[in-house]
Amino acid sequence: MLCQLKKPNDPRLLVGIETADDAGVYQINETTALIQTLDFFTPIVDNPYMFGQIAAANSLSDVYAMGGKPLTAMNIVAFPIGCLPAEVLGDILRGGQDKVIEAGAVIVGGHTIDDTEPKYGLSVTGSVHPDRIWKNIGAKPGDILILTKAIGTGVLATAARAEMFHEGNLASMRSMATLNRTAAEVATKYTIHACTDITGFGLLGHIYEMASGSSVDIEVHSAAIPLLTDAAEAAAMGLVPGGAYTNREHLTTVTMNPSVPVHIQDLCFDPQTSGGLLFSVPPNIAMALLEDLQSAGALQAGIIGKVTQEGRGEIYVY
Amino acid sequence: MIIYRGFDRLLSFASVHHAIRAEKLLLAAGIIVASVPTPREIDISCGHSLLFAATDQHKALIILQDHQVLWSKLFKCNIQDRVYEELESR
Amino acid sequence: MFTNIDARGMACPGPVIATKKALEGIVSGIVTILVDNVIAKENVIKFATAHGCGVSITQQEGDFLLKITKGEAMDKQTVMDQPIAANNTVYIITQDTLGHGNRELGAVLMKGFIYTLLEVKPVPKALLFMNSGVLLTIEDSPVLPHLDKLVQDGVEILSCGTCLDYFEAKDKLAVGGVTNMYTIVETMSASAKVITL
Repeated sequence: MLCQLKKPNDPRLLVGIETADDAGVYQINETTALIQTLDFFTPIVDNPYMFGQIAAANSLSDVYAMGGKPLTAMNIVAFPIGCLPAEVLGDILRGGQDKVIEAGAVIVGGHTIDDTEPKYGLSVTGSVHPDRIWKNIGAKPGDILILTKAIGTGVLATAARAEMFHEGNLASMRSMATLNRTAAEVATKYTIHACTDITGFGLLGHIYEMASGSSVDIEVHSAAIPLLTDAAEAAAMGLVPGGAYTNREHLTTVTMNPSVPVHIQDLCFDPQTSGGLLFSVPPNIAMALLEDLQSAGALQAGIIGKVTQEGRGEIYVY
Repeated sequence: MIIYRGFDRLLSFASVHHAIRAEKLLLAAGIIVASVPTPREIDISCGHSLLFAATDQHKALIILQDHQVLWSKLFKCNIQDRVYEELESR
Repeated sequence: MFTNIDARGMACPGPVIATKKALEGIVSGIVTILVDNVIAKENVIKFATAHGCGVSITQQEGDFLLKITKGEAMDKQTVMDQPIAANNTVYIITQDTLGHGNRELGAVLMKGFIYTLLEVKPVPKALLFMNSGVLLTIEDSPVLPHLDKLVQDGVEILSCGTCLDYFEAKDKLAVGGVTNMYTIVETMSASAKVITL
């Protein structure tokens, strides 16, 4: 749909809508480019404060995925004024603000509209050095793929609606509310060929964006994918959100080895909220980066696959 | 029925007479079939069904049609998990 | 035992929740659930198989009807731990006459035998009729009144469905129920004593 819009013709637009990148990047001067991104969604957890935290972390993630630092943020709010108590909105905004402060950025304003369904998120402005932008294209054959957070938030959200797997739901909320800041700051010390964050298209959906954008094929080791607590059991029990099925239907370049259990396959397509960062890095620094990430607190970070050859985005999962 | 793991199609019949004829015809045509008691999960009047691989489905159904063997329902099946999904019925 | 659920229109994961509740409510038996989309169908199948149940799926005017079977599977340990019940005896009756050599004599002997089963206590747990034995459970069978009485006394009478089908007598069954090879073998395995005529 975006293809129908006229493509901007500005040399200072370093990253625009032509790649499936997470944000736009616009050069200001020799050493600074601005990153601009926004995201918002309907509540995915019952607790309004946590909803605010998760939505904010999710919006800020795109800046980290470009290798940048968030500077300012604005609230995007839709709320059924008069139908839900004002305290609920207060809690959401507090959650968001606390997360923005944690990211070292500042909320400068926002906009609220009346709506039957609450929605919240942020528009975020960040900065990055023009020569050190991480794009989601640039992965090279031989690269190692490192994922910084465990997956399974979609399945666990479905489980929460079924009032099952309480522990998994708590782990999922904590994970979603975790900023990708630490992971990004650790990774800036290393050579990163490509980076993306894992969100609504699921792990394989975002891996495909990286693979097709980089013109490579990728191999994923399913047993190495870090999973949130209870995610495997919940998926095996059919607590799989519709989005996982949609993602699988739309992704036609994936070959699944039959030995991959069905519930793991489902998790590979499970839409994530505020997921981790996926780095494609040269093999000689992969272990050092992984250890560094884990020491810094990304305990579930792991090597999940590699870039095998030049290609057109074929993904082989074994 | 662990030994029939590779068979992912199950065919039920109008009567056991047809099931017996079907087994003879398909074996003669070189299709590997296994005759099994109709699984409990399926609500079928005939107590005997035939299992075979999906890759043989097309050839098998043509043979049965040519010889006027009355099959009743075709299922896609996962024997190990005991999942039977009806694909076609006459 | 049947439980029927209409899960059409239920938002995810409603159908799975409904299936869970239904399966928790029974020890064994069948739960049928009607769903209106592929995602609900796939998820209910996953839930059922994760809990060791079998599933059969048929399409019904664009909807999917799932029949989930929660088994009464008896593992070997359960069988061995059971004390031998006084009436834990099963008779397999494989023809409509008793013994070989003379059919007329055999018919007389079989009538006598079934009658005697009534008189000897405790009565057996079940009578399983196979091959021409099913001719004894259909209309006009000479032993129908005896079998009716045995049913009243708590004996399970089962006739092999394939055999009834073979003799084209499915709609002529006059006593007891129709069974299949699974139940026949399981009933035999779970019994302390199996006597074949």
